[in-house]
Amino acid sequence: MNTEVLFMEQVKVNQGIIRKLVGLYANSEEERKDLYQEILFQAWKGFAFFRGDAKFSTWLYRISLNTILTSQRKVSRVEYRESVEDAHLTDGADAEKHENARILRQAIRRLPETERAIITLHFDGYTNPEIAEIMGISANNATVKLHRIKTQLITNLQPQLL
Amino acid sequence: MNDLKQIWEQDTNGEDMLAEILKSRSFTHSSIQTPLSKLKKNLAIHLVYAIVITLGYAYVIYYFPMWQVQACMMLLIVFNIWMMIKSYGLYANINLNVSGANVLSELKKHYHAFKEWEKQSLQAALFVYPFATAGGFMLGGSMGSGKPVEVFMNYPKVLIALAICVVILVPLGYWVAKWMTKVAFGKYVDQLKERIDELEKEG
Repeated sequence: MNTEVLFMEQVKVNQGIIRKLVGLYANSEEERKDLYQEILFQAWKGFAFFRGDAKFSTWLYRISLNTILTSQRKVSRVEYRESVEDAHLTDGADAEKHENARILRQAIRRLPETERAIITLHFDGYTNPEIAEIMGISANNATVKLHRIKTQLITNLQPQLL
Repeated sequence: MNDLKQIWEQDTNGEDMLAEILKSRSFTHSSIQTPLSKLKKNLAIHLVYAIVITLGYAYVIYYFPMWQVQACMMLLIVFNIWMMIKSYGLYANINLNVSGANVLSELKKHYHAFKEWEKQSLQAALFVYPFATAGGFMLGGSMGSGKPVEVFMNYPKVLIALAICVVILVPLGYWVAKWMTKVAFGKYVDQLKERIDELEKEG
């Protein structure tokens, strides 16, 4: 199969990783698109070296985090105003779900940049040793950090979630 | 925590981004200037300048046969060549591709590239200015006074003036180099350091 087609197939299946990460770090709609494009570009360039010894999703997570955390951005802990299309989602039954997701994103954005990465990896189902490996820290450090981040998130969020 | 996980999984914000990006942009080409690509471009520009300046020193050696000035220029040429080799090494080692390595090592890779560049810039300021000042001083003084360098440099006042120039210009050059590296990438390097410290801090 054509490499580009294969790459796009994999990206389509795992696009949620890029989408969610970019949404947690970008400070404007334009920056969100720029980061998204840069991650796609870096993933495409690195795809030839992807040997398949890790899952594509894990590899894409690493590429996304490395691209985002080594990029030059204004560090902001406040979510920018969402686009008009997103605002439409607040109509009807999805309103509560959408609002809760927004509150959660906002709370994650208040964390330091590397902690945002750790908690998203946890939410996406990675185990503590896997998180430690992706972040380049010890398993013990990952466990302690994660415990502290979770406590902080829960404390901040409990009164706000509907 | 499971509730939060569920909320996270159900978050659909920006779900159509991939289609949107592919419609208006290409994923096989990025026009985004990353700090590392800017650093690489800076190094290439510095290399070109270093070659031109080295040729300028060679011109002075050839057309101004005063051994004291020639000695200063020779030292500067040797130093420039050494710096060019080091700069080229750094330039060649900078890989603009983001790797699939762990986050901490990727952050360190970027951080060390910038610190190495900063170190090279400061070394250049420390080594170049004393010899460039001395060489320029002797050349200008000799030509201005119409006397050979040995005679011109024999006046105690001239020696004191040269010492004052070196004492003022070397720290000034060092400070300017430090300030310029800070202006160019300081904020970014601080951000990288902050992220590295966050990760390395236990707990």
